Amino acid sequence: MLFQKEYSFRGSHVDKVNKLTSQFDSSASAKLFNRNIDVYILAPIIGFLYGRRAEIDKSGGETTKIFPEQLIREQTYLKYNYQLIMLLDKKREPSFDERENKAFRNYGNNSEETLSDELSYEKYVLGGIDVLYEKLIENANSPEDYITKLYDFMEEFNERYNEDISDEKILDLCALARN
Amino acid sequence: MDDATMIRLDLKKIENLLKKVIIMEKQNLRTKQYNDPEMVRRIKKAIEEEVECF
Amino acid sequence: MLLKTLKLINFRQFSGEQNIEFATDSVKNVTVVMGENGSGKTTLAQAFTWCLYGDTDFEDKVVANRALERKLMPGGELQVKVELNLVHSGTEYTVIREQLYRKDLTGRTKGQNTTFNIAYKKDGQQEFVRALEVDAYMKQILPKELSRYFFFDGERIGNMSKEIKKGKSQDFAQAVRGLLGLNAFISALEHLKPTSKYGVIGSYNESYDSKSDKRIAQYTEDIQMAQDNIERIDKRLLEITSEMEIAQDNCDDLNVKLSGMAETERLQKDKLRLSETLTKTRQARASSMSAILKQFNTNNSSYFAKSLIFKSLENLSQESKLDKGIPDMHARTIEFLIKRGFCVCGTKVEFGKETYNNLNKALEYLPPQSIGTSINQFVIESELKTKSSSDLFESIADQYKVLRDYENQIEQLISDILAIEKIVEGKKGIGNLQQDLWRYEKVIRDLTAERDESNRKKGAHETTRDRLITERAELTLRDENNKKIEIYKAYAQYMFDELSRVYKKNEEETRRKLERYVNEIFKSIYEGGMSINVDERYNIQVIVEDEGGYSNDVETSTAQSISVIFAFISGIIKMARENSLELESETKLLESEPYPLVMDAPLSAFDRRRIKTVCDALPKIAEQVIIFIKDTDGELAEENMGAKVGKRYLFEKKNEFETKLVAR
Repeated sequence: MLFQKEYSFRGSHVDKVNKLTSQFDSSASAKLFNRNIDVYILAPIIGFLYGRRAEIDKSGGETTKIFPEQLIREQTYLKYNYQLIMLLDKKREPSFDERENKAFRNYGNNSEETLSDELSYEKYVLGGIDVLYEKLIENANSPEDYITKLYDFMEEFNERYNEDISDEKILDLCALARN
Repeated sequence: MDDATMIRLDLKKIENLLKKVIIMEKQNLRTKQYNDPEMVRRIKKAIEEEVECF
Repeated sequence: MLLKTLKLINFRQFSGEQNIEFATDSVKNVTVVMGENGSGKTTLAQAFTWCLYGDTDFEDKVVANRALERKLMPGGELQVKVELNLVHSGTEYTVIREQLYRKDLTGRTKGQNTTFNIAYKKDGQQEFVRALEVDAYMKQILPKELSRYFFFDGERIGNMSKEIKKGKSQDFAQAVRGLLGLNAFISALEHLKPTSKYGVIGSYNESYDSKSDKRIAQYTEDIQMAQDNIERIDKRLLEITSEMEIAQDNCDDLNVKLSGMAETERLQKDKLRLSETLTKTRQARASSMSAILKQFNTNNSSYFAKSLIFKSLENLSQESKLDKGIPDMHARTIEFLIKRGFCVCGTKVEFGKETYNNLNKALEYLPPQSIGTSINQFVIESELKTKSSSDLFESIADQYKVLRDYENQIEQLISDILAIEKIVEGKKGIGNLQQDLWRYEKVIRDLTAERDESNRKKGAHETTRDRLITERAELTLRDENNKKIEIYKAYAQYMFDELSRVYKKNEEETRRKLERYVNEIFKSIYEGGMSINVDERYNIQVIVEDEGGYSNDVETSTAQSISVIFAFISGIIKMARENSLELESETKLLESEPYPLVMDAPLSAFDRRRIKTVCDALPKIAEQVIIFIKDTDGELAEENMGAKVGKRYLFEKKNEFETKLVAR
């Protein structure tokens, strides 16, 4: 089952995660992500939204870890994000009923189907890390560069995904869905 | 110094003397005939002559 | 003084004997010597200085022709000679300077001391001035201090203008006065002078007969002592004046530099202030950066997931999954019914039968197996997330705007600082100017104190001297012989006082007249509301004539400097000429002498329009004009002075060591 055991980033993702969580300006304790787990929480959403999946890079013995306690503490977030992706990944499963089962019924039941779902989720995690690395780190040389890249990414993301969605709309839908 | 009670100066004589001396000097500047001590002697001579004459 | 001929023998690049004859005609009074740069114009101009004063402005003081000097065998000799023929005060002089160069056995050439001779014609006979008197003669003909204003080097104009403006010696003023026709007065005053033992008055003092009263000799001795003291103090006072002038000059220089420094200091302060602002702005930028990152770091996933949440809820709300759940029924209810064997409605529940299957299916929609609850949970969570989320992008965008502002400020600050550093860099290395200034200011204070003290002492000595003189007079008048001396001396003293008075008056008039002439000439060649002031010491000030009457000594430009010098020289020459015309007048006691103007490359510094003015003015002002010019200027000079040119020469440059002078 996901989010129970220690998680390790491997291969090329080690470096990317390290860079995403490292301080880039000595004068300000400025970090894009405070902890590995913060990357781990956001990455699948970005990977999914950008349609980016990546295989586990098994090259190189270096790893960077997330400890189980942290995973358990952030369980709610992680589970929620997992459910979001399961619910919406039409490419893997066209039937909404089935996706619903993946998201809600099968979560953590260790069935073969679920393990494959979890693997798919992991791929989004790694794909998301690739995207985040490209968007926020690559080719940046100074604190200014990092901030500029961050802003550009935020702006692009906002335009593409969030501009037309208001909190009110979401809250209306919540009311509707709860019935 | 020229205490009037003791010494009387004749202004006419002085005027003559001045003219004489300047002309002497002018000539000498052109001719360089006399050197400085000689000129001093000539001026003294002119003064004494002018003072003594009536 | 008019220049007639110049003979050069082996003088620098003029190898062998070369002669040049100058125009002395009263109408055609201009001699033009033309040549390319480096052909020997400056050398020829320097030949005059060398001949008259034994010195040149060349760095290399060897005046021997290099080519001939190299050819010398060890033990061989080379004679260098410049002979200048001139007329001064109606007497024809030949001024000759020679220097012998000898190559020693090691092949080194050494120049011996120069020999200097002046010959003059007296009653058709050539006579030589006695060796001891040649310098005095030369001073009479043309004092060195003045010579540079008649041997005029256009290329050294900057220095001349500074010299003419200030710091000139007493000798210069003296020389100018002499030149302006006050020589006879000066000589007479010099001869009468009461302060010298050898002057008329002094020698009377020495000639008292002390036999009648021993005290007379004592008085004379005391008076002389007082007089010596006064003279010593006077000498020191002159030194003090010139020392103070030097110190003042240094102070002025330093103040100019220091005001540059003050500027630098101000800039440094600005820089410091800018640097402080820069540091603060950088800190602000850093915290603004941290703020952006902190925001990004907090709950970012709900922001990024927003579109996904929206889609999920959309999908979920369209499905009626939630309806399948039977309100308030639990799985345990179904399990009870199955175990009991009949439904609520009484239908039998048998394993494998339809009723059994239906009941089992219903289990799916009931807790705990029902996903409805999970979905509900999910919706609640979505609601919470949405309610607690802020617009991450908006707040980051706001913060980012602030950050950009800071970055622009930082960029501006850095470029300002760099600009200041560049300016300051140019002013570095001025060292401990303030200390130097304090030192010179102290020198001035000390000298002022010394001067005041000296003046006090001088006054005391004068009082003593005058008292002694009066007392001696009382004694001397008792003796017939001494009384006579006393009377002669009184006449001499009166004459001296009177001459001094007249001289002062004349000198003042002459100076005002000079000032007027200099201004007339200056204004004819240099326009622009400026005039020249000549003070008691013949220092020159350029004054701006403002409508408001405000005047100020202004910094002179090169063209202006040239014009000032030219006007000054022209003014002096013009006056000298005027005075010489009145030479024979009995009533006018002034005597003077015309002077030539020898100019080296003077036109290159002027613009075309001014060249014409200068060319027009020159031959009218000076009795004689000798002009060394490069070819291009030469044409202009010919064009503008053609009718006045009496003699023309050309430099024929064969090589670095050989130039021939050819008449054109």
